[in-house]
Amino acid sequence: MDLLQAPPRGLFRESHGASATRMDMASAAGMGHDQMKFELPGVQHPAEFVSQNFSPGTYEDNGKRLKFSKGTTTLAFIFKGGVIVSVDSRASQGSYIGSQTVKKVIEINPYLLGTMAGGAADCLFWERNLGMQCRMFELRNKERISVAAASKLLANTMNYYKGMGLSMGTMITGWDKRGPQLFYVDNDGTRLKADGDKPFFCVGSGGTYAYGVLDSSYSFDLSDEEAIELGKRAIYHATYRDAYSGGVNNVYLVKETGWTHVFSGDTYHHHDKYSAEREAAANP
Amino acid sequence: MASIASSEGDRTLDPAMQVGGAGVDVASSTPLQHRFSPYSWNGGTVLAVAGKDYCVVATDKRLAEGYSILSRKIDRALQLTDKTVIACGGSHNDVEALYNHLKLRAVMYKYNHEEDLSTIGAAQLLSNTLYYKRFFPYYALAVIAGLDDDGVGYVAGYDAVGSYLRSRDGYTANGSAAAIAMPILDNALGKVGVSSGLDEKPEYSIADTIEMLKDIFVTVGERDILCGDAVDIYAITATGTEHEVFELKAD
Amino acid sequence: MDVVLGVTGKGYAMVLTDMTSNRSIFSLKHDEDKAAMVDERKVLACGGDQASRSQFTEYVSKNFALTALRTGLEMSNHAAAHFVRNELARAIRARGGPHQANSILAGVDHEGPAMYYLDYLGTMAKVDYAAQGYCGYFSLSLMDKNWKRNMTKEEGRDLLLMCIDQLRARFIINSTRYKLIVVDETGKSAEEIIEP
Repeated sequence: MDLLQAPPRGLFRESHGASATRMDMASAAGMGHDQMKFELPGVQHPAEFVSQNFSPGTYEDNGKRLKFSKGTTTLAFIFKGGVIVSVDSRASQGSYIGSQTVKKVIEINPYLLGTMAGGAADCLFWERNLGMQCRMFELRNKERISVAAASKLLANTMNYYKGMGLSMGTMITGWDKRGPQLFYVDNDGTRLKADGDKPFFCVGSGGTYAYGVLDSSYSFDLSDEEAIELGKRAIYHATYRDAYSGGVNNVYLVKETGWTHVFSGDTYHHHDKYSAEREAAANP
Repeated sequence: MASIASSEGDRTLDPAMQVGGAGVDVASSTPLQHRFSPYSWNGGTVLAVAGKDYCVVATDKRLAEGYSILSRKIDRALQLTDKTVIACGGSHNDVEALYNHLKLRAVMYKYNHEEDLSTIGAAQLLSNTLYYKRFFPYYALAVIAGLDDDGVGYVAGYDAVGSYLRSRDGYTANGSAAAIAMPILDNALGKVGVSSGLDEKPEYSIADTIEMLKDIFVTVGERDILCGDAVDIYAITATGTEHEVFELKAD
Repeated sequence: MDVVLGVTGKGYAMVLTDMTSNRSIFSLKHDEDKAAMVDERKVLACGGDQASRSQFTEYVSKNFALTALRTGLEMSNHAAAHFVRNELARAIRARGGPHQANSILAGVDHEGPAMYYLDYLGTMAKVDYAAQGYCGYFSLSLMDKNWKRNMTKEEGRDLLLMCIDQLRARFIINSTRYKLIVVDETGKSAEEIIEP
């Protein structure tokens, strides 16, 4: 049975500009990217041209307005009660803040979450594509895809387009037969599993600050409330120090039953709370 | 990045382009370097505001390149369906190419499904269309405005490769003067995102919203050289879309 | 900047790798496996970026498994090493580009232990001990001086520990954890995490 062979609705197959029809069909197969055709610039070394001109840099706005949102703090950690995902919501284009209300947690499906750092369009498009591939897996195999397999599908995609200038640093989390799972996948094709005594990742320009909080305060035996609190606190400290991070803090909790969005609040209110605590601690 | 900057600048400044010109010894000079600059920056500012049961999108009609004004009456907006309008700043050639493609897709959708493409559907279509050219982008900074399936105003802004987000506060700006116009909109309308800490924000009627957008364009036209001449305003309600042209200073 | 070392001894071969995974200024992981069993009695220790490393290691191990299924025989060290070299040499001229993986293949077969040094260009050398990348500048002299034929496992381990001490004293990249894998005629006979 090959759904691919079904003709598109209507007799008309458009071939104008972007190859949307071919792309849709390749995606529907939920398999190789060899059928996808993205238009490339007519230069001798397209990959080099693309990565020089159309990829987001982190600290400089290379190329005026063709630039995409970047600068972020995202983190996720595994603990006794599941996985916590906590992110900021700022999108900056150079020094201009493009948006303060970006949803950096992408709800791939009711039991899989992806986070967003790097090029917003790259994350959005490929995690949506991943959602489709996961659904295809489910229909074919009559069971849910494991987080390990899902993250590998994304890593394979990143590997396929390696060197083409995609920009993506994402964490894929969920709960499967093996329990709570967390994987890091980026545009180099790197795929890392969170395990051992420090089962967490921080991604983005504010990640160094978030790591500072997480490394010093993390424990596997945190209660749900403590874990949510730790997620909030790490993002607060990142938004406080990193000018590229800010806006609203969104926290998700992944359980056996799927994820829930447990918190959404302005980091402005975090500051009210934590700065008083910090003042008290710093001036005994 | 040189290849995206205006082609005018490249042509005069890039020594590679002068190979073979007066005083250059072709045989012993550095290897010939080819540049590919398929983009120009024609300005274009788009503002959009959504209300409970309406949506207004406004975009200027000036086509500029460098310091020259090429036209005072181009259309930057595309009425895609009865309740969806798209408008883009950026490189106007790419904007036109994008519109031709979207028009085709909207017509095909109607033939196949016997109904108009919804605004939310159009928003995703626009995103995908832009992303399929991820490796050779349309230089189009788009805003989509319309009514969602419940008849509530919908606006979303895009980057050149299709990253988009429905505005939680119901307003967005894109293109040339976005960075100037956005703080004004934030101050008047921001409830959740920027300026959320400020006073309670009133609910504006469609007429008030149109007046506000006119005022903003008058202001922005004084500060952005690429913005001016006239504004296309599309007011979208359940009964249809009304279009008007508002004149700005032509200096 | 990965640490990838290997030593052969009496009836065994052992490899030692660091366990960190870095990106930009982040050290993302301290429990990464850079050496994997690719066959019953063969270990492939690999440096390079994580994507190439895991893809390459998986490709090699799956092909060894396929060969074993087809022939019913375990590949000899010689055959395995040449298979790996051939894949590296093929990739460097192929459209997809080279595998960014510098590796040490170590195993034990009917002829005893063997170790091969392989870099991403397809360079291969049969060696008694090996080091990949910068760590070689610090450890190869120690191995040249102290390696003896038919060392016991303890002596081999001590030699690698000596290398770690030297790396920690003089190498700017200071890893906190290392993994040691020992292969003998029974397969993987020991695996140890070393935290000096």
